[in-house]
Amino acid sequence: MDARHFLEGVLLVFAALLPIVNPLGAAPVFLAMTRYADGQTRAVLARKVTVNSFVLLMASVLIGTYVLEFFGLSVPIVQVGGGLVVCSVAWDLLRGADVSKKSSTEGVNDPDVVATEAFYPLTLPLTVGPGSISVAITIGANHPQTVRSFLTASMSSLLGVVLICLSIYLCYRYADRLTRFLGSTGTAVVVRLSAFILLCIGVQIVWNGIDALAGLTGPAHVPRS
Amino acid sequence: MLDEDLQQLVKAILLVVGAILPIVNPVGSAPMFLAMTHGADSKTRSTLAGLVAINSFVLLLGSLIFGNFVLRLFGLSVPVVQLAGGLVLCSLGWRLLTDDNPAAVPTAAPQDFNAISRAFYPLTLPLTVDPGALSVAVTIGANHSSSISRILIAIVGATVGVVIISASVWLAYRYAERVASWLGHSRLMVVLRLSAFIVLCIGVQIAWNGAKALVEEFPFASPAAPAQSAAPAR
Repeated sequence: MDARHFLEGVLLVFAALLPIVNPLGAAPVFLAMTRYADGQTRAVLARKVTVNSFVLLMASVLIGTYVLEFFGLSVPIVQVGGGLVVCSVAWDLLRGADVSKKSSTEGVNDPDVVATEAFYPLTLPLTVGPGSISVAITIGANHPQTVRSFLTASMSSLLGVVLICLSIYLCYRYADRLTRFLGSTGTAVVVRLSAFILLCIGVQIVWNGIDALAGLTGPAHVPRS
Repeated sequence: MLDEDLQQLVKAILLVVGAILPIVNPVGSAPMFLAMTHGADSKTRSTLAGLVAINSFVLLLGSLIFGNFVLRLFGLSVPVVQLAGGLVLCSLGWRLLTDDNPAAVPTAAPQDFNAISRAFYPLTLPLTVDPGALSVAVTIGANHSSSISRILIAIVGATVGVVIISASVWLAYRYAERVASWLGHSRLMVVLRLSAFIVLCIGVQIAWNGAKALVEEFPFASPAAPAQSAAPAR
């Protein structure tokens, strides 16, 4: 019985998060942002982003609801705020990509710069964006009541998130094989295309948030009109 | 008689602390204080913590006692203050989040004089006492009663409550540095980015609360309302 619940939980977390985290789609963007880094730095970055994503996702699942309550926020607000950040990162990437130029001039192998870049923008809006965070918080919000089933749910979320992070690591670690395969022109095209898709994802997340917010005020007057 | 007054006083203190402390949220905004004072040494930072606590005290007590009067003087409403203040908070969070190196922002102003001139804006006004806290303070202040002894009790209660809030701000900001040194540089960076993101979201939330209240005043937005809202307006 517990084993079945456990497996169901793992599948739920994995299936709900994978399409939104979408490591395959994010890999070209990761490449674009780390364009001037050498292979070794990129491997370090891939590992750091994976660890950051793991912590961020697990924290959203386990304590996300409480953190939001602590600061008096709601999920749609996080979607609007975070979606705007995703839009801005994608816009920079699409237009001029001087984001990656800056990290090239200021010592790519400086561990401080690497550590800073690894969280923002590589982990926070890029890999684990506001969409993934809000899904993770929603998954964590309907935890069952008894201690036993709570433990089962937590363990299955843990395993699900580990699987997600494994796929992130694989995609980012071997992203540069993709560039070799595509060539420089092909890579440029893929990068610009993924930047545009990222921009659209940002707009979609902002819109979902606004839709939910307007829905909060909507039902009061819509039926009457 | 005295007993009743004392009860009233305790109630007033609890109301102020209970309503405003969760919004000011000193523990939550301590990492943001760290982020904004990143380049400063610990002496400057402790001076800043004291200044911010004093500023918060004056600002909160001022909005509790005169807030309504000031808003009426300029013809403003609370939702408008929320909308504008929320936008200011958004821009602050955005800058903290998207700056290439958060450490570079305050080191652009290394002298103590410059760091201390930041004690009111942005450290006190949108960061510690955000527009949400201001609007709650104004709302609490709006329910003053008529008799003089009651007004005195309310003012004393508000003063004591605001002193408690400012003291907790001072404690949280003063000892934020120890937490920072315990975290180490790269983990601190992560905390700073995360809190910048949370500041951005709080700004969106406050701006949205204001915008929602404003939109509900429109006659076309709520068809049932116009008869009510049009009548007492003019």
